[in-house]
Amino acid sequence: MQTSDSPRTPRRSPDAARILAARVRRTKVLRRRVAAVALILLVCMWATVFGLGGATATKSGVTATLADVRTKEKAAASKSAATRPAARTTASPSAHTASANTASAAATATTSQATTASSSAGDTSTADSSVTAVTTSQS
Amino acid sequence: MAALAAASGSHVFWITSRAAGLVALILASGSVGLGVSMSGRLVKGRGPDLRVLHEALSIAAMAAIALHAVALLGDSYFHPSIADLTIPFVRDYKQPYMALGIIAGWGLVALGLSFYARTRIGIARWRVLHRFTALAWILGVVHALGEGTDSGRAWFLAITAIAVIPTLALVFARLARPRRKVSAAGAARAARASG
Repeated sequence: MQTSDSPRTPRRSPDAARILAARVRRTKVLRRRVAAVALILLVCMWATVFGLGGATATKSGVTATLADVRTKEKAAASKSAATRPAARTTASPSAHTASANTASAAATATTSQATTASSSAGDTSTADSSVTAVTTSQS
Repeated sequence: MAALAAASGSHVFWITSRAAGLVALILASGSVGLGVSMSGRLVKGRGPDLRVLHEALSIAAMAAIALHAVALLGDSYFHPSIADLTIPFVRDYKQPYMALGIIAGWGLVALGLSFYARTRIGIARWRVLHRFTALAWILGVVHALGEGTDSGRAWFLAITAIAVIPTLALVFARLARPRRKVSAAGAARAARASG
């Protein structure tokens, strides 16, 4: 147990203590500011991904839609999960199923979702119709 | 926000993970850029404040990386296991980018947290080790560009470019500068100064 008189923890002058306290305060302020900026950034990025990344991009025709992206992701995942059947046995949520179904209807006459994904890739009209369906089904 | 969450429906975890990945990329770029600037004396000013800022940015980046991974656990589409997200090459999905991301994540976390054990590791050894943070960050950038769902989009590329290019320039500027010789006494002084 060390006392305050020990050589390792020398007694600080009031001036040094004041400087140290100011530094600790400044540190706390900086940390809070960084945390606040990080949170704001997260909210902004969430809105950006939500808006530009798919779910509400209905009219631009430039950005691929959420449904399109998710179907492509699923096709890639199904390839990887071929060796792990347990991962594919989980029931898909209704919105996912609806979007995948709409995409498959627009791409015409494919029963496999993986095939649908590959056929609808790059087709913006299909993507637009599918995202409209997603938005409708979700609302 | 609640309206956004309601509108996003079951995609909320997936969107959260993508957003957290972007935030992690931005914060890690800021932290690495600041660290490189400090070590190469490319910025002048309040040393302790810059160190605190570097530390806070790095902790925030680690939190964002954790959220990036944890949010994926809730995604019913991708449906990964904990092992899929924490051990490289376990899941054969978008390899090698996923493995690179996992390695980068662990690298950034381990090298970042090693700061708190630097006296045990040894200051000189820790300084050498800490340089590998830039490598882990580059792996993270490759992961984002290679695996990211949004990686082909203009908005994503613009955000990534704004975050990454200045830091990359600082890393190259630091590499181009001659190394400072740090004596044992100097290292001890620096360790005392950094608390």
